[in-house]
Amino acid sequence: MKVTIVGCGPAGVSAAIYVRRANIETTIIGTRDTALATAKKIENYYGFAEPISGMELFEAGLQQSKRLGCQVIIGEVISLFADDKFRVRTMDCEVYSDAIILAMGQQKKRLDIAGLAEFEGHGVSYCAICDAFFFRGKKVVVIGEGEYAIAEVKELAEVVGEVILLTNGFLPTADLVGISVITAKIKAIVGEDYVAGVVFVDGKNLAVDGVFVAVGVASCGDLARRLGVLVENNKIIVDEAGATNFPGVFAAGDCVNSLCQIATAVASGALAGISVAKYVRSIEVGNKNGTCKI
Amino acid sequence: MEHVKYEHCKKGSVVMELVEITTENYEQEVANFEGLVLLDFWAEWCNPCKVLMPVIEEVAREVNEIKFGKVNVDKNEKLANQFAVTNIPFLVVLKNGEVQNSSVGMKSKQMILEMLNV
Repeated sequence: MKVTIVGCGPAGVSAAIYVRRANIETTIIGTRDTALATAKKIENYYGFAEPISGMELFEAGLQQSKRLGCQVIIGEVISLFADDKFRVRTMDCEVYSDAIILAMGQQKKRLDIAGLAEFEGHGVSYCAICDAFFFRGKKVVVIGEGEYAIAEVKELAEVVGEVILLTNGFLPTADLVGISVITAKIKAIVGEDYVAGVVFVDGKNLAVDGVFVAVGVASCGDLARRLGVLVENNKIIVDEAGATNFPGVFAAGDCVNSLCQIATAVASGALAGISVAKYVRSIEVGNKNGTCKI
Repeated sequence: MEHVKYEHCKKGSVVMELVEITTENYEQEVANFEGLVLLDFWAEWCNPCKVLMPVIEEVAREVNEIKFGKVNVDKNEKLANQFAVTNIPFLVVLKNGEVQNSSVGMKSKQMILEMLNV
């Protein structure tokens, strides 16, 4: 049995330690762009006589997980699928597992563009694979600048009539070969009942039928929503064991906790790790007995 | 309620089948229905839809005075266009054929009950 943990901050690594020590094959996937790595001096975490930097603690956690036998993949997760197995996809690879833990930290602040919230469900979408169907043959834009946005553009290009990437004033951070791009800053999403266009700060207009949002990296909430995991106020809803409403999907850390501290992230990671180990054991027993959980 | 049927699954629990709403039966089943109707727009390829459907079935088992229907957007494009559906799962509540409220995305049982105001 295999478990994949998305996110390599304190919650993800803490979870991985418990899963691996339960003798389950464990993969951690994430980037170094974590809240922990940006902390210059940490004085409020147990066990350090002198302050430690976030980057030192982050690297020590990764080393600890590797020493225990976890596979660590440094890469940006761009999508998540649930078929017979869970599939976690980065730009370079796809990892299969029997259960997953989402521990990618707090959702970044949503884009502050006029009309975006108003048109959500009326032409504004946060998931290409979910909603591309409704824009067959139509013209859409993707707001974003990195690999996550590029992946969404490619997904849409298979279905829609035309897709343009809008970087909203940011420099692209991914390879944009073959993709139509507008880098101007966006002022508003406009329309009557449904999205009809994008207005830029420079006064120009672009008529479009749909707007997809994929700014920065995919957050826990973005990935969770794709599966049908409950998300409320940008936090993944979990029970006391760290389990979501979707069997086999657990969550931990700042994407779950209201108190965003290393100590609480480590604690919820440990809880989710123990819970996911119990879960995969139950599937294993079910498989051996020839029964399945419904 | 003659528009719903129950089916016993292998484990013995009761499964509620939602009314299959199509472009053809919409007038009769929804537009001309006196009372509350909850419609669930869904598709086979939509993961969140598959997770949401059993939650709606659970609500349907408990709330008798409301009609619960499902609309397959692949098979009923005209109906999906009529409601201007651009994201699924899409839930819409109608009273006497008039839209009362709607929502996009996964919802908990409690959220659905709140939408229905029951």
